[in-house]
Amino acid sequence: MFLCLLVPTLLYIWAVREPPQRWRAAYFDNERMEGLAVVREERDVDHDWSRRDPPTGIPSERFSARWDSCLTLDRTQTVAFQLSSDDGSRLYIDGALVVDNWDQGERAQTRGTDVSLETGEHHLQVEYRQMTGLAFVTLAASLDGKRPRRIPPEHLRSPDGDAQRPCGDVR
Amino acid sequence: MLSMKTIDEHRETVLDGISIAAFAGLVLLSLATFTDYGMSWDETGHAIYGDSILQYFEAGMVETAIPNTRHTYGGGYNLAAALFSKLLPHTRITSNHLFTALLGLVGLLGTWRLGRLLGGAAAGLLALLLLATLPAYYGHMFNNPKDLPFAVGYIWVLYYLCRLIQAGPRAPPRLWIALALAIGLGMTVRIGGLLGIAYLAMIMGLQWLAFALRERRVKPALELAGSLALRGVFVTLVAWAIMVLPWPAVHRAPFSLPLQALRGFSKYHHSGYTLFRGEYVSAQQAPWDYLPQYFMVQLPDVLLAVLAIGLLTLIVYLAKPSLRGALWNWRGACVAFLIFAFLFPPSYAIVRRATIYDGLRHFLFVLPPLCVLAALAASKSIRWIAERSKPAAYATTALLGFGVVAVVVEMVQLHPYQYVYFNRMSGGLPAAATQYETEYYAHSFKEVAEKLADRMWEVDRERYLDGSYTVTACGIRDYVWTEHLPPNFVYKTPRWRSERMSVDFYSGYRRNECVDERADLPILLTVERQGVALNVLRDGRPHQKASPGEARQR
Repeated sequence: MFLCLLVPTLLYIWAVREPPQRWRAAYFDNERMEGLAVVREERDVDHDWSRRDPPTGIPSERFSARWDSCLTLDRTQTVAFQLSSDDGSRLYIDGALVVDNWDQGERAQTRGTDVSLETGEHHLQVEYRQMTGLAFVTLAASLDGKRPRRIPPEHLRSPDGDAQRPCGDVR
Repeated sequence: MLSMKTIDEHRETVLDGISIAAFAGLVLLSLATFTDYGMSWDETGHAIYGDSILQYFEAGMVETAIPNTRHTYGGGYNLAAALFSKLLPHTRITSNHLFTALLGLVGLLGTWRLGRLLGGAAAGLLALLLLATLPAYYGHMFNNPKDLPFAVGYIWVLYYLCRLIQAGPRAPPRLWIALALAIGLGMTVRIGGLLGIAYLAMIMGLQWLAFALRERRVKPALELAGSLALRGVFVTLVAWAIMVLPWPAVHRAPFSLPLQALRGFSKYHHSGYTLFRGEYVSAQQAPWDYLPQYFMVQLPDVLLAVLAIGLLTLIVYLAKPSLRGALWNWRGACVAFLIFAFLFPPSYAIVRRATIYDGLRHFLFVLPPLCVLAALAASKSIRWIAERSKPAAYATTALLGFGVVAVVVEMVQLHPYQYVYFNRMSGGLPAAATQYETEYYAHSFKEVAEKLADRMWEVDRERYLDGSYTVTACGIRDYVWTEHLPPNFVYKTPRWRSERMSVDFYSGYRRNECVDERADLPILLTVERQGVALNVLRDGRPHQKASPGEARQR
């Protein structure tokens, strides 16, 4: 009987334990994204630092971060992107600023827009800065017409190109 | 030709196989559905407490890191849940739901083992099925961080105490160790788990008395008293250590502070009101029949019927001298003990006029032994009928199965709010909605949040994508709802319950008539089961007016 409980539970934990980490994250110990960064791979851009601290070496106030990933689309489509944060955040797609939530002051705000994207890979980059008080950032997108949610990992790939071409052929 | 013994063994093997299959099915069901369950208002505090205990140990157990929250609770469940959440990528609360469900399954396992110990494979299977289809237990199995883990500890304590009754005073050391672990784990959820030690003392006292009366010699009686006392001290110390270790707040004074917490619980003060027979009564002055009445309306009809048969059978056995002897063995003693373990806690609460609210929630722990008793009654009755008429026995089994299936159907209808079940005899949930506490634990805010977000995306896409909404709710803390809401819904905290805040959306669940608050606003959506609104979301955006007749909810 204990095996009936243990085996499926362990299989479940094994199956979900390590979700793909397809966002490259760089954390800075200042709000200007300057200096050396703490770099790591993350599952998505969905953080609430009132619940857990930023990475070791990063203060809980007056810090900034940048995430990037490569979005793969198998058809040309319009994608709705939504960025919520406290404090500022902004989203670049293939180098172009598409959601600007940067100067909203020290309060939570959600901004979003529809973006028409062609088949292939696109470079997504989110920038965030925290001054004081509440600290969170969430990027959501709608690829299927339903309300924006976390971008499914099967549509993402870790950036492996250089600074000029983070997703290879993509800008 | 097969001998009777072989047939019986074969029958036991088949029934055990069915039990294993049923349990495996329950495990898979729990794994498949635990994400459906919303957060109860008890969970966040316990999750924070668990994380704080973990931080305390990570910080090297320094006094400055002692959590300043929930310090009257032992931290075993909380610490284990915090560690378990590290294994999963889910949110802290969703991980908790799986962890609590696994504990609930361990409780089902304990109930099966106890039933099997006392009545063979048939009783084990029935005990398992009766508890799994007991909505009050199953419905709390995913998001109750206090009462459910305590119920799990309680049934395992009862199991090992029955094993102790079976083995007699010279029980092997491993049984005493297992008992100490079970009592300790119960105490680590709630200091009330000390009840296990009190039960142990009572059983050892009776075992000694039986021995002394039988032997009528002083020396062996004194030797046994000494040996039992030593074992009792061992169990108490081990259980105490298990309780104290994950409880940072008592590390300064590990003996006096837990007792202080116990005294605090025995004077527990809750100034709220609770719905009972259509009226709100003070939780501190609930009528004596508050608990018995909730048992009568929240236990499934089939369980009540089986218990009634069991009671009748017991009366017949006690009344007939020729049958009475059949009870005079270790199994009879265990049944008597289980009846006591079921009756004593609620009776004590009634006599002491303890603070009571939220229906049966605080007494979930007496439900597993109740199911074991019902299973023993049912299996005994079916066997008695089978000795007289096989077809009648099959018909009785089918009737019992039908009763269980009927409850399962209702549990599916109520999913994931099984805990709001009320039996057919009482008129079910529709009749109970205005009479008793139903959705008091705020599970429904998850469904409200998901429905609201979907609706706004559908009808108000532009604002949803590039703006935000303000929301508030009646009678809950912000985290109960924001846990499930997307970040573009901003929660506004009212300064007092009836403050008429100007927000886009206002939600109320069934506790304290919150479902009828702000009836001046039109209803945008409801969370409904069996025709009863468990949660109502009202539209406070400008130019939205309530139409006559839609303001109040059944």
